[in-house]
Amino acid sequence: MKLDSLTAAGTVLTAVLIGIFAAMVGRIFPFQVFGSPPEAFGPSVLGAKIGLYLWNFRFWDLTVVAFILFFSALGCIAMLREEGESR
Amino acid sequence: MMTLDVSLIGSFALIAVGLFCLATNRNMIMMVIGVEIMMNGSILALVGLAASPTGLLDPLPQSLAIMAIAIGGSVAAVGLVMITQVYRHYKTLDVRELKKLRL
Amino acid sequence: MLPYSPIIVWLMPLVAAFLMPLAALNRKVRDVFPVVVGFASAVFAVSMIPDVLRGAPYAHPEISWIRIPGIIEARVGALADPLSVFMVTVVSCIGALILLYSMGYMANEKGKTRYWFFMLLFIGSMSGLVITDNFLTLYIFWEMVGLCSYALIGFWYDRPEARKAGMKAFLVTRVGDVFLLAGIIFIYLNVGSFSYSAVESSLSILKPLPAILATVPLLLLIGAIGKSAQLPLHVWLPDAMEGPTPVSALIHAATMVNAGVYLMARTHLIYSALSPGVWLNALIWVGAITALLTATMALASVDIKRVLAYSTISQIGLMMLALGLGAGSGFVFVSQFHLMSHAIFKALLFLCVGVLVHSMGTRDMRQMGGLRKVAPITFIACVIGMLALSGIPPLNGFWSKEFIFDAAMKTGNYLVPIFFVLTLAVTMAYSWRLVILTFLGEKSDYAKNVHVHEPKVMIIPLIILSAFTFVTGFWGPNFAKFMGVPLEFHVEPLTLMLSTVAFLAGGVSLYFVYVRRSPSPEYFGRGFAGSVQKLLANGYYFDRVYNAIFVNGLTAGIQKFRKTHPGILNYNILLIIGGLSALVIMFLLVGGL
Repeated sequence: MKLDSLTAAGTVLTAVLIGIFAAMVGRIFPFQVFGSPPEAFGPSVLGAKIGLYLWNFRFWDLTVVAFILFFSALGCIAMLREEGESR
Repeated sequence: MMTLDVSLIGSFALIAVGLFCLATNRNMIMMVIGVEIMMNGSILALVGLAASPTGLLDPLPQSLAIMAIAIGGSVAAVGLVMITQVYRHYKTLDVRELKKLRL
Repeated sequence: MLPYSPIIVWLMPLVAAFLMPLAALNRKVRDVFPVVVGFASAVFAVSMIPDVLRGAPYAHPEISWIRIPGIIEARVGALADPLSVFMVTVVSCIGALILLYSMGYMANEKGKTRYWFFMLLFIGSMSGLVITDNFLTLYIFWEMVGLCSYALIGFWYDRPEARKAGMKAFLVTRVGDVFLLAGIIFIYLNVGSFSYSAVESSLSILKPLPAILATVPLLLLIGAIGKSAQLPLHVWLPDAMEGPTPVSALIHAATMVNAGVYLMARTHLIYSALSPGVWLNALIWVGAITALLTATMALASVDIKRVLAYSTISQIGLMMLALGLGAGSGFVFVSQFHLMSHAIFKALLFLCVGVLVHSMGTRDMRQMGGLRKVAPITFIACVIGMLALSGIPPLNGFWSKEFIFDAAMKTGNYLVPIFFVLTLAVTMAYSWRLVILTFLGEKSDYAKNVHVHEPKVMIIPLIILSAFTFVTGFWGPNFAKFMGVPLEFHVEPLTLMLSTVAFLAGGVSLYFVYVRRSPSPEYFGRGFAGSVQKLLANGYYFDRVYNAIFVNGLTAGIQKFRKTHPGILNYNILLIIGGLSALVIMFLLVGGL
């Protein structure tokens, strides 16, 4: 990897980001206050209901995943064709 | 250290590595790998947040995580196919050469 | 009054505008339908007059538009009080006549559906603007009128000058509109309601309020300056002459530019309640300086419509002057009377000029001359219009200007009559210069090869408007009764003498320069007079300064800003990381973590 200005800047900035996060972790460690949601954010009735619905009817997200996979496969095949090839 | 702390710190570490990979690499394939690493980091955060202090685990985020991994794989596939197209057109894998849409 | 008149008078043209694509299916219906709608809405407007003459309470249908209890409650409606009904009558009657004229003027143009759509939309929005009873819908109609103006100026969009002129008109009036919106919001925040009656009844509470409220008259004034093309936001009106002549007649002479004067008349009470000395003086000086400077700019113009455009700006300056001379409905009446006279004779002049421009295909006065024999009716109508413009008795221009002059002398302000007299002299000069250059004299070579024709549809509005210039001058006392103002008017000998001095000064110098040719007009092209002429012809360089600052300066600044976008993906990711770090730092320092 060549060491030019953008690479150097990227490395430095990432190190800065890690340092800032370390400071944040040091301040609020441990994260347990977010570990039990009803204490920190209050009971989220809507979130619990959505979770229950999705768990009981798991075919919905399976359908979505199947849709995404099928059409991405279709798109990849379409993009991989060379120009001038017969369809 | 609870499960939540470990997974959140680990998730941030993965995201930081992914960001570093995106920010410093010229090669487009390396950038796709960076995106994949970041995706893994966020899925780790999703699973970690499902933990509760007593050890019981909410099953919904786990199943969502498996599906997210599948989708992440297809994202990587589409990205690599797009890189193939770009290579056919511009004959280079250097992302800094693609400046036609500059403002 | 016919039922539901206050609402139908603006709703009908708006609905008809959206029905234009249907009417365009048949070629004959497409041209007749808008004219019929225009005349129908004029009938509805005129039918409201007897009701207003009966006195208060005035018809005030309203509905509740937005209702969130505790936060906002806005009631909108139409108020048919004397000022509104007067303006609606002027707008719809002159609009109907100009729609009739456009049938002849735009006979061979492409895109007529678009033209009729925007003309009907304009008449509907302008009627709505003057008859609505609150600031919120006033602002909505204000913006719609600006949109129609942009679309109609740039009607011939394949000409680059027309496109640029349309954009310029829209952007310059936008500057005024922003200030107007700020003023309206301040009013709402302090009064709690948008409607005029609520603002007027709460003026006694507004007076001891802090200085920020004293800026409300200034903000409204800047909005009016933008829309009525006063200095320094007048630069869009001369360029707006790129549009078709009926558009210039309707929008830029008789109606839209009067929206600013209407706003000032409507909010007159706000002005007089909040530190009247400052704001009334501001109105006077904006009006007086604009009137004089733009009259001089008209002297050096060779484009026939530009002369009339500068003349419009100058006359509206006189209307603003009349409003600023004092508080009370007497002064509102004086300015509105001049508004009516000006609308009639300026529309008449634009329509006459339109006949010439339509036949000859050029707007340059140097290529016209001696047209009085080939266009006799237009010549007579133009002479009548110019007599009214320069204020010669017994036409309506004389009466309205005498009212203003009288009020100016009575208020004891000594500088204002001087400006007024100078403006009268220059008005005389440029108006008759136009007639001499265009109609009298010898036919130029270009004009010899052109056939000038006067279709009947274009002549009828000319005749009707000329008749009105004779008649409306004598309606002064009736009009004053209509507005509810007790008027005793007698002609002061001093003002009459000063007016005559002004006429003689303008007329005699014009006679010497253009008729006897000694000194010839070319003499004014050289030396000191030449530099003065260059200054006037460039409009005191207002255009150049605005271009240098806002167009070239802004473009250069943006090109420098472009360097922050190198187009490299890695750079964008760096910005993302930087933003993320900044957020986390903010979180740590300020947030409650």
